[in-house]
Amino acid sequence: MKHLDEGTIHAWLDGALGAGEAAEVERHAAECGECAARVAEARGLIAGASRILSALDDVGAEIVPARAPEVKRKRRGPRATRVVAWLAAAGVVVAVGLRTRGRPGPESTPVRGVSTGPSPAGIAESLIDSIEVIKGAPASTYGAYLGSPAISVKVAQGDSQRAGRSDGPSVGRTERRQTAAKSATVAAEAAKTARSAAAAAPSAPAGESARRGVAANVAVLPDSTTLPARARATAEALKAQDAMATAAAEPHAPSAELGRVPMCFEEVPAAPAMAPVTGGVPRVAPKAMAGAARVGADVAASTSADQLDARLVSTVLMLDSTPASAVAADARPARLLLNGDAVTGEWQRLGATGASGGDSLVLRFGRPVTRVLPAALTPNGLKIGARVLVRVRCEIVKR
Amino acid sequence: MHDADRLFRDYHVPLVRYLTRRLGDRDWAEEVAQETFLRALRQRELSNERAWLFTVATNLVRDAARQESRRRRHLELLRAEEAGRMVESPATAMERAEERAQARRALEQLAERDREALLMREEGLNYEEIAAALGLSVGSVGTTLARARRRLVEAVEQSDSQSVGQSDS
Repeated sequence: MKHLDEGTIHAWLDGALGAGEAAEVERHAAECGECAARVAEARGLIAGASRILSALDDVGAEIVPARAPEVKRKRRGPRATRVVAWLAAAGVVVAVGLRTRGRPGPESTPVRGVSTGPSPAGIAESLIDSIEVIKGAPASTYGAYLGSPAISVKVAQGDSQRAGRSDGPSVGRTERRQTAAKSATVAAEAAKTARSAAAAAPSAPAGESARRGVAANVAVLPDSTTLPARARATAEALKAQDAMATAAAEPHAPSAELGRVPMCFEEVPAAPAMAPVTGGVPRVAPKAMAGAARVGADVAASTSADQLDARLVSTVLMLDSTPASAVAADARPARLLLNGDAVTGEWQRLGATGASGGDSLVLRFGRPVTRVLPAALTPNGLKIGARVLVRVRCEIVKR
Repeated sequence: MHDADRLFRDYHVPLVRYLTRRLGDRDWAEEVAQETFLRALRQRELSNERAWLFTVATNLVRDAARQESRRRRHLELLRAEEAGRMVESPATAMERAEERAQARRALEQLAERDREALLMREEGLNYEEIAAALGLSVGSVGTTLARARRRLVEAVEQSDSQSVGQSDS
């Protein structure tokens, strides 16, 4: 089968293809790295366009309708494919999430000091997802999150179909808007990178690299029943509260998955098809990395004037390193230049999360980060494998 | 004969939202929607209600575009009136207006057919309905939407780049 054209991909994501053709497209997307990247890009465009259009809704809350009933739900693809696409599209989702940050729809309900903010149940679930992703790590790595007030005070996220108004602070809206648009092309950039890499290195196609990284992450996901009871209970309790509103604003099937992505605790694919390098500066996609860092900055800026205090806790660079270089990296602090200022971070191993035993560099910031210069990252001799994921984590705690 | 109440209940909200996004004016959108429903009620039968409503509404918008200058003046009056009712802070209002204006500019950069297809899709019309409303083949709707989405996102990104460039300089 030849590569999928953009129109077909959009038709597929919109659930407009027949069952046979959809299955064929799905199968091809699962097998072809280049097309998987295109699919991810298309998901991002769909979500991004939807969010942009929601800015036009200068209407009252009562005018936000339920989704039209005729929209068909597409059968979800294989998990690996979905996660690959999710990762590649995450940058766009960050963007769309930011677009409605502080603009809750009619379903918004105050939660523990959060005067405004959308979808607490979704946020709680997202938080759990985030915990799941790092659950393979030692308790020292994620324990701070599990025991934190951030468990119950959630971070806002924007559903692609929720639009409304906020009485909350307006601080940082302009920056958010700019960030959103910047981030809106992260998936596209990642996809382009993936395509280029696929063309240049047939032995290590883009999709394969991304899948390896994803598979590594999936491999450490625990059974949900092992998650902390408190977080689970919170999610369940809030889910009912959120259910009616969610049902009334059900987005397109592909967007439903994307819409669950939180603004905080975000995972952004920096370079899913990055070729292995040894030492030196990792070839991290600048836009992706800058976009990821700006997420945290934005959270901090947008909530500091509210009843909540947002702190960017850390940016986690997931480097799929070789075991030998990990030893060297453990021994030395890592450094990152932020706006010209050197910030020292520490290595924390997450165990064998990568194909060759990945490590995570955890950098904790005590102040908002507005920009990360990828070229300034010194990996301390770490031999970087095929995967680099940038994670931005932040907590929002009640004052 | 179709049920007027049901027709209104099912389609008024999405139609008004579609028109509001298309026109940038809620009151105007309400007017067009009302006219659309009136015309619908005059029909003895509608084979595809949603496609019919959106098609007629789109045509009404196109007709109305010919009277754009008059409408613009009306719009300015409405905006001024609306501004007087604003209770949010000036900064918030300004940023929201800026965001809306940016989205509006981006949307206006699209070809008319692309724009309408995108807005219809956002209201949940399926490909067949969009094709029927815009006179497209069903097979070309995906391509149309893909192009529209990409251009819209790129237009906003470009606009933001310019904004950032201006603020940096």
